[in-house]
Amino acid sequence: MERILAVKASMGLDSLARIINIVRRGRIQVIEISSKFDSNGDVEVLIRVRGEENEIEWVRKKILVSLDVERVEVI
Amino acid sequence: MGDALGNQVKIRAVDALVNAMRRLGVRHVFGIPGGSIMPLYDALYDAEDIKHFLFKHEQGAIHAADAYARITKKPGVVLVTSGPGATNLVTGLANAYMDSSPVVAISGQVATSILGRDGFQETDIVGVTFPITKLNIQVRSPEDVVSAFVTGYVASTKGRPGPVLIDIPRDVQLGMVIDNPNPKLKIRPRTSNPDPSGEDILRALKILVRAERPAMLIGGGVCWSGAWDEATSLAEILWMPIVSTFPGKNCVPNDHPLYMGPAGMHGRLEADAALANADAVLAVGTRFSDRTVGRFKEMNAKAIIHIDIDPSEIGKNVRTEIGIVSDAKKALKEMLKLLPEVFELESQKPVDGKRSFLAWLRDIRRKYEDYIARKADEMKPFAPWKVLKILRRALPPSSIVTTGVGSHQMWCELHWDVYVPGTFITSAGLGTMGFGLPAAIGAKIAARNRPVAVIDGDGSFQMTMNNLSLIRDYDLPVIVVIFDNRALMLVKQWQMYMYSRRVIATEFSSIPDFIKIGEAYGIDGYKPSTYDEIESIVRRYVRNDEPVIIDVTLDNEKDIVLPWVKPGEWLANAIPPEGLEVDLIWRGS
Repeated sequence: MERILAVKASMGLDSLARIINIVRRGRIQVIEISSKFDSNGDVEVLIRVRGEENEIEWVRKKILVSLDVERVEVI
Repeated sequence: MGDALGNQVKIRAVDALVNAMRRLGVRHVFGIPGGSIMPLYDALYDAEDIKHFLFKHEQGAIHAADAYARITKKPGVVLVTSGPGATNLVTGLANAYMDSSPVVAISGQVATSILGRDGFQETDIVGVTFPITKLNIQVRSPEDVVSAFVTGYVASTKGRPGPVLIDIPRDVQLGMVIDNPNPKLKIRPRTSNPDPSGEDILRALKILVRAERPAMLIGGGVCWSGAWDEATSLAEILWMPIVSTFPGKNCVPNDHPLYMGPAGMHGRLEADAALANADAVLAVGTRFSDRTVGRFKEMNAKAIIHIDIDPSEIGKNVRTEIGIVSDAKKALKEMLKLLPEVFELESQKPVDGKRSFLAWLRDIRRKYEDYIARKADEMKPFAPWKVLKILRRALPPSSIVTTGVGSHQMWCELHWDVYVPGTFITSAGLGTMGFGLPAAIGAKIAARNRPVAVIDGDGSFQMTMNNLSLIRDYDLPVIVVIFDNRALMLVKQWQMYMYSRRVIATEFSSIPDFIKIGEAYGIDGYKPSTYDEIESIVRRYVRNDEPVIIDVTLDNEKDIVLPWVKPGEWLANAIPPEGLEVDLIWRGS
């Protein structure tokens, strides 16, 4: 299945790097990543992925464990 | 802080940082100074209430901080310089990450004007450590130094503990700030100790009550949460054998009648049998490592209830019937509270079957114990398991024992009895050779009045033996026992069993002489020739509160750790020692 992980985090580029480090350990295929930063460090990341539901769910939970991540939604 | 006129006085960011350490109760720090961390060391010059321990290599400092944290349940703080100082932390951070140990590492960094320009001793340590830290922060402004440190300190123990790295450029350390005792945290750790759902607890209990052969699998999370009383109480009421992971061995008194030992690659046969034949498993504070369960396919056929504080662990490796995100103690307490209600609703399976199952498991244990007792006399000069039994007898129950990594560690998994939970420290997840000695030093700093011993292998010991210097530098008497087979024995064992005995690069020469190494560091050393001698040396040096090295010679052809579940194999297919016949499949009472 194909899904979008929508992540909101608070530590700018460092959050993005941390998120990517998690995603690359998941058994999913990444199709597209985009991100938007604001001046106070907030970042919104959209990651379009393909994979099994439970694997996508594991990645979602793993990202959510990051302390600088405020929200992760699977769309 | 204000002057006589009420004006706010500015101090160096590092002085504010040391003040913050004091407020948080930091009393011991571990590390090595260097150019980029000198401002912080300068601030420590006047901090007589914070004792610094100077190591010879940063890896030793962080392993010591890791063990210190496991004993005190407070973060261990490490200070290092930039570049190689910081990269030398990498193994220690990964180790603490894998074993969920709260360490706060502060690395100096080149000045912000040089950042990214490949300055002398510049490494992007934040980039390097993303995957092996719970949180890492590079501080770019002096005003953020204290808040970053406090954030890291708090974050390291919130929820599932883990290591944190705070990287501070030299000029940032020296910037002037107003000391704020209540800094705004860089992030707000989310509520990390959620209440378990009562509905899930009830469903879980119903499964366990209805099960014919329920078993409890406990991991390191039980230890951090201090839930051993709740775990054993629940097991007693439900007639559940208790099996552990390797780190979980540290979380329950090993002499409890329901404890079967650790399961898995080098686990106990009775534990493998308990887990392999259980129809329902209550797993608490464990990540279901392949090392513990061997193969996931068979595990997935059981009704698994998984309690863990980290939601990403639920369902990661095995299919769970019920996942409960909670601190172990909280969830187990709730289970005990609701159990009478479930007993009213459900009729528990007759205990006869469970009693027979337990009797069968104990019979496996008896056969194995009888077997190794017989075999001990055939193994010259020493049988490792008998050495461990002698050490256990000679060391007081509350002694802290650390290990390195290798065959000696696997023997400890099989035969070291932890009488007091929290007293056994090992590198379980990462399997870091060289962990044992610096961990023993950190444990001794944390608990100066308790005996501390490291059970090491010759290969593991040689990776970090420079830490012996701290024993005399800071009067930290540690008992060092080296299982000396002059080989990377566990690797050699795999070569013998899995690579047609093509033994390569796993055998050492007879140098160095560990007794002379001890002498160089001012530590007595012995090469005993009898078990009685080992016992008498340990008792004497514990009594005298003195350090000692005991070099125990083992035969590197016979020092094979069995039983063994080969990688990817199922627990019931554990290979027993040669000549021991035991069936690990339950065939009914």
